[in-house]
Amino acid sequence: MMKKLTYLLLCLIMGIGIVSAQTTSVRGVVLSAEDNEPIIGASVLAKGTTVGTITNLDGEFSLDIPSSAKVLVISYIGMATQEVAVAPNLRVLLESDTQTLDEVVVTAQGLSRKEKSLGYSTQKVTGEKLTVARQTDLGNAMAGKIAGARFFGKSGSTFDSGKIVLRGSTSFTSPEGSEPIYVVDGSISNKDAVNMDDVESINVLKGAAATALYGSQGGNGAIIITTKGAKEDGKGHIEVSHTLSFDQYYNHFDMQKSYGGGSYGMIGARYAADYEGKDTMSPEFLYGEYGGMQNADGSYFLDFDSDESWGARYNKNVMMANANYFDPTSSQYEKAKPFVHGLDLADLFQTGIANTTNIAFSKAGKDYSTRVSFTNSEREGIQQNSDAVRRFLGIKTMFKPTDWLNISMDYKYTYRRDHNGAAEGYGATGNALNSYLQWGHTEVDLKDFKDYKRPDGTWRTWNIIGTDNLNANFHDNPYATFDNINNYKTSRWNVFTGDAEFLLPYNIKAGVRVIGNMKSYNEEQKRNEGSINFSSYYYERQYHTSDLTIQGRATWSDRFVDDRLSVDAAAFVEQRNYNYGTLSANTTNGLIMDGYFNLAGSNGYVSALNEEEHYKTRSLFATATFGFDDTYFLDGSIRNDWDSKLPAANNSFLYGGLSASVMLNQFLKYDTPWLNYWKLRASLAQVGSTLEVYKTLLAYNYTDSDNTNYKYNSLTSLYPSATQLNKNIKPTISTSYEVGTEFRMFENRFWGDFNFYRRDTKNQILNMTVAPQSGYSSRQLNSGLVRNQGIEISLGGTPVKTKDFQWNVDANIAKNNNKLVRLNENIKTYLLEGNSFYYYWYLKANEGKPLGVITTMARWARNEEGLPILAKSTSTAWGGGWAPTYEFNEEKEVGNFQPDWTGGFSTSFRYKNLQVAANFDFMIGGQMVSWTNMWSTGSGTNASTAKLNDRGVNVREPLNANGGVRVDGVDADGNAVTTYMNAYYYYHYKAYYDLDEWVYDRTYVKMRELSVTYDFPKALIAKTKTGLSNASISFVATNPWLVYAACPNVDPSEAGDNWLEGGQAAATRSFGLTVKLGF
Amino acid sequence: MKYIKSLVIASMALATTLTSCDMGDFGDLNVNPNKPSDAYTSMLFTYSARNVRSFTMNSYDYDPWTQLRTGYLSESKNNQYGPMGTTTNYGTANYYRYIIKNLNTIIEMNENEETKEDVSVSSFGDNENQIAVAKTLRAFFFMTLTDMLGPIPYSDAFKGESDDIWEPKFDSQESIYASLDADLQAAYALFNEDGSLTDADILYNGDISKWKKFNASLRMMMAIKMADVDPTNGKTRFAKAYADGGMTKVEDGFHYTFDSNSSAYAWMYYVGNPNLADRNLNFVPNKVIVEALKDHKDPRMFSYFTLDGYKGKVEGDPTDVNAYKGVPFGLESNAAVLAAADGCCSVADSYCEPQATYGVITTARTLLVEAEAAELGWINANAKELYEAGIRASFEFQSTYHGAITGVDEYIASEKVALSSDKNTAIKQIVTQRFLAGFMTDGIEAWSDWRRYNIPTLPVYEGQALEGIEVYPYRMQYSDTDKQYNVANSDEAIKNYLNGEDGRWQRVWWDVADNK
Repeated sequence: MMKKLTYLLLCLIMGIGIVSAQTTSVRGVVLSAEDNEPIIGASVLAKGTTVGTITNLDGEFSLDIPSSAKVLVISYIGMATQEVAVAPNLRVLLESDTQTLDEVVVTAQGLSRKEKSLGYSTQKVTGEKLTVARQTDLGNAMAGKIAGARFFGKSGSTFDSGKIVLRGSTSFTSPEGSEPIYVVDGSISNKDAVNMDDVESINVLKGAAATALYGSQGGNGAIIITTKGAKEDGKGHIEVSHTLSFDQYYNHFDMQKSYGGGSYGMIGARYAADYEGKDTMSPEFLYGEYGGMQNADGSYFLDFDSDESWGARYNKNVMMANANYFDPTSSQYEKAKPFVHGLDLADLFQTGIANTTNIAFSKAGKDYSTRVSFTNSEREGIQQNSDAVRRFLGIKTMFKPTDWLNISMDYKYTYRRDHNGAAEGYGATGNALNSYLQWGHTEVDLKDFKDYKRPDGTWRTWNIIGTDNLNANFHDNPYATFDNINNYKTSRWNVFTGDAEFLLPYNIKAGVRVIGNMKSYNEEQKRNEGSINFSSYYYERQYHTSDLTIQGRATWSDRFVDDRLSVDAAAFVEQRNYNYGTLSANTTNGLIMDGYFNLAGSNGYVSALNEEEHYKTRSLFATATFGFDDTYFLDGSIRNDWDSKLPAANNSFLYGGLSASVMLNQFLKYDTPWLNYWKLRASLAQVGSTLEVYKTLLAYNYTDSDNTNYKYNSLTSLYPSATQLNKNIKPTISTSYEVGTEFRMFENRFWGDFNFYRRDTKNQILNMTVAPQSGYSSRQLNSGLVRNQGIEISLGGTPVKTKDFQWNVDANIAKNNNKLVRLNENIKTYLLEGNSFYYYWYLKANEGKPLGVITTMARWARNEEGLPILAKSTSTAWGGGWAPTYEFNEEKEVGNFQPDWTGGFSTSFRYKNLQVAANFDFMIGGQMVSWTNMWSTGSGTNASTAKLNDRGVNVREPLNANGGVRVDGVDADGNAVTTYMNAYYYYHYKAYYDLDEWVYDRTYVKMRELSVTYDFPKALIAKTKTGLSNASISFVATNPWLVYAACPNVDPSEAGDNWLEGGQAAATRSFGLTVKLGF
Repeated sequence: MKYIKSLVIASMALATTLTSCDMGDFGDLNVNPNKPSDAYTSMLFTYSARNVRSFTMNSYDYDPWTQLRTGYLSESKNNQYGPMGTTTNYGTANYYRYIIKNLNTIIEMNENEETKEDVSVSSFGDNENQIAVAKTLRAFFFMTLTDMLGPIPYSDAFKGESDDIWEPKFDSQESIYASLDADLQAAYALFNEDGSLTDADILYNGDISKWKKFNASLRMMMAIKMADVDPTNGKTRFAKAYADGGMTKVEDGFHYTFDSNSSAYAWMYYVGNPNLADRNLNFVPNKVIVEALKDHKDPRMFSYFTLDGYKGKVEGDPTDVNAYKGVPFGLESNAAVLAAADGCCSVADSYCEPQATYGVITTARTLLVEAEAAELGWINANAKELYEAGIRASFEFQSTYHGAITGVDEYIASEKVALSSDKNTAIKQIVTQRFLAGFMTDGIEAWSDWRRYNIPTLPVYEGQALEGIEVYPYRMQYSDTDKQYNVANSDEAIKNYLNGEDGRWQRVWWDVADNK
């Protein structure tokens, strides 16, 4: 595999020799000493001439060389170069050479550095490892593959690519952490604008020492992406690949299947003293709201207007009338159904299909290189009427008009369109699961409601207001909302780099680079009539950003002291110019005509809003790397920024870094096969960051937080900022320290990288909360010290390697300790976010604790042992026994958002041409609040609400039939009490008031990817004589298996960057087939 | 070495060139183009004035507790708010950081020699009237906040920027009342009826004579609440305010007309509108007000409610008070609420009109407060006349804004309504009339009446009993913000004025009457 890859990546310049009159013919074969396999593409050169060739697919070569040449030089990447005496028939065995593994790494600002010389941690991932499963998004592809990267995945049905955070969070505004920058071929781009088919490799720069040259933008790390170039063989190449994959709904919810819809209250028994005496199958339960009534055909009614599943026990002999029974326009009019479990969440979804095609052309010669790649991906989501389109065009060119000038031009166009991606969150339109798992009737057979449109245009639903009012009470028909609410989000990126580099005397190169990243975005929402829950509506939002950087640079490399001292230096001057403009507008009070989606179709006035943002950053920066004896390296960088977003008097700031590395294996006296590479490294760096635009000068508000215009009729109404602005605000400086070591052993069969870091972020620009009665609710201050420190461990190797079989393993694990060391002399706590239904969950930054402490404001009162404190209740609702007592408005810490460990594991097996690869990622620790669990418990849809109690009876059965939830608690005096509580009240009151209960660990282990690939043998392909040079076919699966999750009923790996899961979008797993062809 | 030298020289030259063009000069690039940097006092005033509606209901989507807990509205679908376990505290942040702060800014801009002549100030009206109106409105907000919470930051408030006081101390309600009365009197003296304000005064359209009456009425509303705790000062302040003159005509009332912005339509537009009952939290008449109107055969029933509303057409004669059904508040389950709401009446369409006018502090309330003072012997006036004038003002207000009703003479003459000669009975009748007239007006005032007189009787139902509630709450608790960011001072206030507990059954200063 490795040889084929290096063949593909071959970048030796092959001189085509002058053939002189007197020549000698040489033939031969080049083999690997290790396994006697032919080496394809090895270079064979007659020493002292430019005559040479490369070996063919069988490792053979033939060459006519001048008679004067006596020696052939045989070389191949990763192998020790051999010189052999000329002979008519040669058999050359090349040994692998670890000493020559002088890998070059692309670091910040596109500078190439020897891997040896880096005094900080980087992690390189090859494109093939990322594209094994043909993920269309970089975020998903990277999950689990980078040590120290926390991946916040989103469900596939959202079409969202998730979020990656390196080395923990320093941010008070996004406590989950901020994303690194994505640098594609030198341009700061966007994760969503990366075509996975073009990725040659990525290099992850985690620490400040590595990213200081990117300034404040690089403060959270940088992911440097190098895209594929052209092979410099003067030949044209074509690559084609196609993936067809199928997305399926992946259910994580454990539903109860024993009791039907209703509110456990039934009209007859609701006020009756003998409430508990009634079996749930007694007529009161079955009649639902319409107690005392029964249909002419003997069927019963449901609690149609309720949306909970606290109804009667299922019984197939009981006939039940659903909402369609009362709808004369329905085919099920007056047709009752047996009362059995009917809700299958999979009925909400279909099989999604995705087709992804890539075609790339490339050609390169001595003075030029061009690669053009185009990918088209069209995907139909698992929700009907949802789809996504991705199109990527990439053009990468380089040419040398003269000896002293290199010109390169890169252009990348990305088009992304999401139509009705599933939404996340409680009550979110587009989150279909919400109405069937956080709420819902479990007897509903959704297939009965697929035909949703009545002749008058209104929609049928299971959740009707009453038998005489068939409108939706809470929940519209899911298929109707899928079809009739259309959200479109379209992004277009134009990212380009133009670079001219002049090769000057004295090894100096001077360059000018223009980097542009221009995005336009358009979002539309169209809603049809048909529901009482919303009126027809049209909304549009557009924005444009242009982010232009002009950079001048000078680089210089030289060697001194008998080549023992190497110097690589570079200096830059840069100006960044950022502009943003948005316009959004929506109709009000419905549309004049259904289906006329235009602002002109607004029934009421058109609500519109526009905003713009402009800022500039000017910078001077420089870096220099010194190497001595290829063993000792020292690297320094320094940068000064002038930022328009800061107060004018305080807008200049300076920072930089220093790093050192030493190659310890150089000190070993003899050549050691067991230790091929051992580096020790250390670094220290600072990076500055500023604040958002327009946060230094007072401005009045005319809209409220949700952009509702604050006009009273035509009168403008204004209110001031609640934050006291600070004229003396300074930039935030993060200081990072890092020490690490990396090694390769046993002919590179085993490698590892250990890293320890600390990142102190001081004087953050925070809006510190103060008592609002002071006139402000916050003050803008430089405060705080957030410390992230941790270890990152990557280990990998090839435990087994024979001619036919190879087993590779890569694993990484990282721990990040996040701590708010200091906030302010007076203030010890800072509110990050809050969310409530009845009472609050808060996410806070408390001194001495990780950022993102989760606290609650209400719970069942418990004693020190955690037993609930119960009070005697005469309420028939509680069963006349005991009821819980509560603790309200008292803040309690119940968890924190930062995980303890993150990591991943990937393994692959190759047998001959067949390869099987799997990739896992995991997170240990960290907490989240789960509303899915809370509401599905409160509304009786999840299985835990209908389990057997210790008396062997379902908890939902009446107390006098041995039902009820057993509660072991204490009374007010601390005496032990054991009681059975009515299940409906028990679970309802848990959902409403026992907030601590809904906090879970985020721990999970997930298999992200699984693939089986077959590479057709090159010899076989050559025989087809079609020009085909390689071909492979793969079976791929993404998200095939959530191995373990500490939080039930949801997939914590897809909880996104939220600490509070309000309702997860439908999870997906996909299976597909990929064919790749190369010409 | 010479390479290095030349490189250094070159880069120094470059650096000099760059720094000489002042890298840090960005002009006014960081001036926000999206928001105004300066304000007109008229615009600040409009913002503050809009918030007078917030004590009637505070949001379309959330617990309208001021109407629910005063016997006016009830839930129709859920028992979400019935158990009263959810809205337990009241955050005052918006009043301090925006609403009252705007009024302070207006006063400041009108007093400051540098700004008082500026068009951003003078375009709203003359300086004195702006100051007087801002002070009057400010007193209304402060009074309402202290009536809800008891001690609140007052003397130390707004001194963050000027005096570096970021944790202001809480003042006793007694001292706040005294200060507000003085402040209102000072404002009263500043009013100049020859001047006016522009229509940015959305409350009285710049009519200074009405502001004067509101100012005096406000002082009377505070003074009357002192009857049980400080009758001496109460009487003095009341008499002064009464002499200055409160509201007399319906149009003197402190009313709020909702605006044409769909985000600020009349409260009931979204939650009681038969054509738009889409918010899932729909509110219907409470059994308490319906039964009380029934009991008095009160024709205001037909103006407040409808049989053909959001809950659908209810059978019955719309002119028969007995056809109307209200919903008990605080039942034990959603299902119980749904059953109880079956066949209930709805809030009248006029309250659901987007631009409806709601009374906040009506002339009827003012006259009925004066009637109470007359009964107490605080003023030299005929209680019966004031009482009847109050009832007439309420009928007239309803007829003007919410559909004509007749029969006020007959009503006043009816047995239950005719003012008793017994002082205690008469006071109860007066307060009952304030309750009957108070539908969809400032709920905090209605709550104050209940706290003082236990009128109306608010029955506790099963859902509330499940929460351990024996009687409706007497005050709101401080918000999490108060307790988290002003710990020492809120603790001090709780210790000194609230028996050491920030509880809902602690009492504000003037509330000493028994409500159980």
